[in-house]
Amino acid sequence: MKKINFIQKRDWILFCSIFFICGILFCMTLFFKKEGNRILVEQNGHIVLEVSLNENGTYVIEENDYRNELVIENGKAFMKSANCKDLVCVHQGSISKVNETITCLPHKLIVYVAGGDVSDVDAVVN
Amino acid sequence: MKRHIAYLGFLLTLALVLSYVESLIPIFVRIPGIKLGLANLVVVICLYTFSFKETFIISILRVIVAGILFGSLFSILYSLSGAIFSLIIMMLAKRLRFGVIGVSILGGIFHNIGQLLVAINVVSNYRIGYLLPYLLLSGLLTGTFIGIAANTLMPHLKKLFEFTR
Repeated sequence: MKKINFIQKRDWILFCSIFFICGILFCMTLFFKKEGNRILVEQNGHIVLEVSLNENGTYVIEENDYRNELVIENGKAFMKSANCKDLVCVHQGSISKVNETITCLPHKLIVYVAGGDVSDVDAVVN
Repeated sequence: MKRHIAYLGFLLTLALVLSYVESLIPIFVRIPGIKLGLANLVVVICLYTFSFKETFIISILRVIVAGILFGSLFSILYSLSGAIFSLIIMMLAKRLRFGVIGVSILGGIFHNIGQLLVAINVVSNYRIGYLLPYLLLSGLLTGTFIGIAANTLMPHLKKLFEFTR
C-alpha cells in the first residue's frame, strides 16, 4: 500500500502566516494596554452599573432570576459568584486593564474596564 | 449510503466519547471558549472519508447530543454556529487543496471565530473582540495538533473504510 501523505506545503505557509498575525495582534494589545479607572456593567446592551475601580466594594447585579456578584478590590474587579450554569464568568479571574472584559453569556452580561473618570459619559463611546 | 450508516454511527459515537474525554480535562486558561476540540478529529476524518452531506449530519448531531449530555442548551447554540461555520470553511479549504493540517487549522480557527461572533451578538458589545488573538492562537495550536493526529490515523482507517466506497 502506498504511503499517503496528507500534509501539503501550503499548510506550513498557512501555519506560519497565522502565527505571524497572532504575534502582531499580541504586540498591539500589549502596546496599547493601560490601567483603567472605571468598571462598566452592561446587560442586554444597556449600561446598568458604572463604578470607580479605585473604591473597594461589592455590587450585586440582579435582573429577573439572573444574579451576579461583582467585587472590586485593590484596583481589580472580579465576579465572585453568579447563578448561571457554566460559571465561566467566575472562572475568568480579575480584570484591571482598559477593554478587558468578564462575560456572562447566559445572562447576557458584560463587565469591562474603561479609562477616564466616572460619569465621563463621552469616554464611553470610544 | 446504506452501508455507510454503521460507520457514521461509529464515528458519531467516537465523537461523543471524545467530547466526554475533553470535558474531563481541566482547562487552566482563563479565556472563555478555549478547548481542545478533540471531537473535531472525527469531523476531519469524516470529511476525508465520506461526503460533505454525511459529515454535516455527523457534525450537527455530535454538537446537539454532546450539548445535551455534557453542556447546556445555551452551549449548543455557540457550538452549533461554530461547528457549521468551521465545517463550511474546512470543505472550502479541502477544495483549495490544503492538506489535513491546513484544513484542521482553518476549522479550529473558524470554530472560534463563529462562536465569538455569536457571543458579540448576544451581549451586543464588540469589546469581547479583544479575545480574538487568544482564540486565533488556540485555534492554531489545537488545529495543528488535531491535524497531525488525523494525518497519523487516516492511512490506517483508509483500509477500514476502503470497501465502503
